[in-house]
Amino acid sequence: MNRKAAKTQRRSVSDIHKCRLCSFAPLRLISTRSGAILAVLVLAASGCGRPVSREAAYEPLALSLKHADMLGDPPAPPKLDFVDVDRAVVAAIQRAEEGVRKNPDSADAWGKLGMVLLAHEFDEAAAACLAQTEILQPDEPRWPFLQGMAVLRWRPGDAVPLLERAVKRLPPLGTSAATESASLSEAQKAAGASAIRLRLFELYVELDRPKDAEAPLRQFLKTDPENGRAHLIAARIALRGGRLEECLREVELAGYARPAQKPVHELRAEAFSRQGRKTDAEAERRMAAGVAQVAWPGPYDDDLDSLRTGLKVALSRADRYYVNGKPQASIDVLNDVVKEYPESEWAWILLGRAQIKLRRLDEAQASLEKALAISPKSADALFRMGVVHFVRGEYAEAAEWYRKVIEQKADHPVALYNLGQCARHLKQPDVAADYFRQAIACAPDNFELLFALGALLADEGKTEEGRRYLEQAKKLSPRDPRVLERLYELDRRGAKGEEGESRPTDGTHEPRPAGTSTPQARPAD
Amino acid sequence: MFDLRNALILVGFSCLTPLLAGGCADSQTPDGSDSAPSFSLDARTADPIAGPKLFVDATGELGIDCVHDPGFSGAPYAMPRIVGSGGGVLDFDNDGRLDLYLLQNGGDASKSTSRLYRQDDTGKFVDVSAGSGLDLKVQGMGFAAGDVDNDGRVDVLITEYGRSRLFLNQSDGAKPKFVAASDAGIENRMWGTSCCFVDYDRDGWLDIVLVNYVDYDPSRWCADARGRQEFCGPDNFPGRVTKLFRNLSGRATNHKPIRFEDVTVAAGLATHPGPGLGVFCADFSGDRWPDIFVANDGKPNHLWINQKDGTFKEEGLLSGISTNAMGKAEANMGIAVGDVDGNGLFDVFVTHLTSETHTMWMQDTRGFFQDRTVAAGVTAAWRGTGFGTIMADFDNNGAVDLALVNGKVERGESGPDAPTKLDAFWSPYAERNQVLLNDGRGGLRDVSAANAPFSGLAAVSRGLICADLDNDGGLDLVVTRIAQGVAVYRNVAPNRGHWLRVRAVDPALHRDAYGAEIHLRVGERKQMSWINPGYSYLCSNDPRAHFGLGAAERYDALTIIWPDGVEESFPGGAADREVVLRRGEGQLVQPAAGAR
Repeated sequence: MNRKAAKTQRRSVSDIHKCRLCSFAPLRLISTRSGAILAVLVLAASGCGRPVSREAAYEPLALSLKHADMLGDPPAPPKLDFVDVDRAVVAAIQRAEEGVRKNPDSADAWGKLGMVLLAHEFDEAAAACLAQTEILQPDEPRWPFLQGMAVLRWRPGDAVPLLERAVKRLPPLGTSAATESASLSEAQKAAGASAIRLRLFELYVELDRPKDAEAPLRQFLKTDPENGRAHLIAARIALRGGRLEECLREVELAGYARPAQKPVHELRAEAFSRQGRKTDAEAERRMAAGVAQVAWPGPYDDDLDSLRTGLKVALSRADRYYVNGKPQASIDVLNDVVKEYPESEWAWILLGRAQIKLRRLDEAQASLEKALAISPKSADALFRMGVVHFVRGEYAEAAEWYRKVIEQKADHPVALYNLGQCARHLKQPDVAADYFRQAIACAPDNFELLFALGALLADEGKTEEGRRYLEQAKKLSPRDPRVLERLYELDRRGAKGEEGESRPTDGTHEPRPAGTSTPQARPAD
Repeated sequence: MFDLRNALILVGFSCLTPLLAGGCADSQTPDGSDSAPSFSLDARTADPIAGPKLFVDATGELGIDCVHDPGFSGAPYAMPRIVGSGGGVLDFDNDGRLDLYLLQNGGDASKSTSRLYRQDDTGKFVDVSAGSGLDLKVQGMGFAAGDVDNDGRVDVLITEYGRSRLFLNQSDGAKPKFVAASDAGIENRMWGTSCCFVDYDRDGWLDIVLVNYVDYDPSRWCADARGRQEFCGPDNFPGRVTKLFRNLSGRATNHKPIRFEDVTVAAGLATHPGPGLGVFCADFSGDRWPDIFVANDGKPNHLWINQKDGTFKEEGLLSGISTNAMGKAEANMGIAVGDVDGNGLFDVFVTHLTSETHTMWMQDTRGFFQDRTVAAGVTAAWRGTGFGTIMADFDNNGAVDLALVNGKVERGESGPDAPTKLDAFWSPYAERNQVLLNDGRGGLRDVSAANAPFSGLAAVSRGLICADLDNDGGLDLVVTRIAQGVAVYRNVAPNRGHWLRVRAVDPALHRDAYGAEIHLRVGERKQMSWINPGYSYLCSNDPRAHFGLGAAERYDALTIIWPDGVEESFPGGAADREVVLRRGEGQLVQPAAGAR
């Protein structure tokens, strides 16, 4: 859209945002020009400015933007409530707002602001800004798509026309398919276009409109017959229709890309179950349980991710590094975070955790002391302080810290387990057994707890009670070699008449505290 | 050509009057009053024929004045605060009138105690908490009522944050006396939520299913996408196991003292922990053994199928009820059950977050469910973050309707969409409640606009209890609300149809036959229900089965499948009364073969 045309559609987004009415929907029935007149009348009459519900907000905004020429206000960023909002988020939004103020007719500036707002879930304001962007750049599919994403969170039905509009603005199917000869950016564009189409098809299925998806999906698969995500959608549609063989055929064609793995097994499990193939269904269910749910990449995920900022995002990034086995990278991020947010005890705790992982125990202790200075009752900080001492071999001190954890959180199974391990090191097997029992009461689903108690009791000559716990552990993990070995040994001793004989506690089951590296109990890290 | 007059009429439907008066000002009326303001639904979803007024607020009139204490003073974002507290109905004094118990979340340091109200013979509720043994200062979550020792008096189970307790009813007539069964073996240090009684091993003694939520760490800092401190979600913590406690009384000679054994691991339930919030037990697989359905918050639901040997197998995925149509696990919270489409098979409705859809899983073949949310009309309605929910026939037309109560778990950006009396902290979480009427063909239509007493005020509602409190054949509702008084809604549906209420008693067990499945036939039309108070969210409901009969003044037959699978049929009779089915007095029916 040229500059002149854009100017004629000016309308203050903040005003539109402020003047959301109870419902504008009936206005949709009114012809365009007259509708604009009525909108002006109503806006003028109301002056209410009070917040109304999200779902009432979006359509009036789009409508009002459409008729903005009647009002003539200069566009301005929406007014936002920044109470308690992270200062980095506020700064990012204000930078984007400044861009809009400097270039009120710039689609880039409005788009950036809309995306920054969307990234931080200012959904209504994001939808308004993205609608303004769409007016300025009407051929770009990104803007209606992202408006759809903003609306989807609270009103999925309203996202459909927006996603349909985005699809209409894509190149026709088959004209930009990713081929080996295509450049990287072309391939990315093609993948993005596919993702937009597929998200719309998924939305149709979610909204129980499989018929709307069927024909375009068939068309899509003609041009991209190996698209796993598309085949999975087709499989779901077939399953809904009771066409089980077709569902299974589609699943076969879906491939085994990471995001496809779990749904492939789940769909097979349900289809087999409906076919009465219980064993096959159960096998698929087990396989589904064994793989993680991985989302399909969205077309603009990376763009949105890059805009997210603030303490929460930084902590989450640090956590991701840690979980992925990169504690040093986690420490690097967290060192910056604690400079920026020294008041965040959670940042200090995560820093201490990563330092423990690298056995930088003095540094870890210092970090955890900072955390405890901010939040003296933090069960997590207390727990990790216990781990620091345990790793140093200071079992009595470690036990002190774990006991403090229990004072704050009586149902902390890992602290109880680690207390038991401390007691074992301090040659107090009865105390250890008692802690293990308490831990099991908190987490009866934990194999390690059941195994630890069973092994301890067996070692202490309490064979029958030990066997009972080992059998329970076996129920949870039937193929675990440690429990099988222990039970075999108990059977062998029983056959030899060695009932009641104790065995040294420093044998095969060397205790190690949870929260360090090997997940003995449910890992706290 | 545009017609301004028509346009004004259309606008007026939603909010013309306040516009002309100078803005959409909130009209504040006293909370709990019968005269809650009328309000406008989003006109895109509202039907111009708004529907009948089903309920009036009877809280004050009935004498119920319990105000919920959310607890955790000094820790405003402590997660148990946002989960809320439940309660339930029970006839503790066996006078035929349901009494009411309401939990608090204030904990030991609080001044507020949980409240027991006895319904007197005038229908008023009198606070009899003091000295009852249930006047507890607790961080209370879930509640279940059932007779665990088969002495003919209904006992009570309470789940708390960090503890769960069983109380035996030793009441003497109208004077309540509940004694903690401290040595009964109900050991649960976890964060218990919904709970219920079920005789899973068919030995005639009620066992306990106790759902646990997450391994919550109160020191964890959580924030929303904007970085504002917020209540943590379940994804921040590992889920916990649903516990199963087996009643050992059947194996004892004199049945006393009552003892339970924690059979969670042995029964197989420990293999799949999850952040459980809701629970419902019934025969899902069609083999006449009770199964356990657990609604998990943000994780796939679990359907534990009874293997008839003391163990269960998780078959949620295989039954199609674990996730939504796209295979997505949602924030499953409250559970409602009923045969929405009248196909003779019960359907399951689970409430979710605003950013998801509430899901209606319709049962198409016995034991198999499909997400038919849109077909049921649920998505046409405005949507909040739902918790307690009930499927029941509010207008007695023979088709089950739906009610749900809402309240956000994070602030989001918009304030309440209806007037609220909550303070500045809680009001951003407030949402209005909803009621949807069944068109008789399985389509649900939101009639909240006509039901301002129930739906017109925004609150952070959690528990929803359904019971015929005044025994008049109309189902009433009780709503528990965070940081606010409980609300009781009396059914005043106009032109209510005929009805039948069914109790089922096994004389040998001296108690209601929890788990019994009741089938009613009127002409060609069949309906089903259960003797089972355990559904919704953190609540215990009317243990009697209720049927709306529409215009029919008589019913033709009643069939009951007792909890041990034995089936008896009873002859028809006149409507508009309570019938008591006593085991052994009906005609034995050969059980049908063909379990799944």
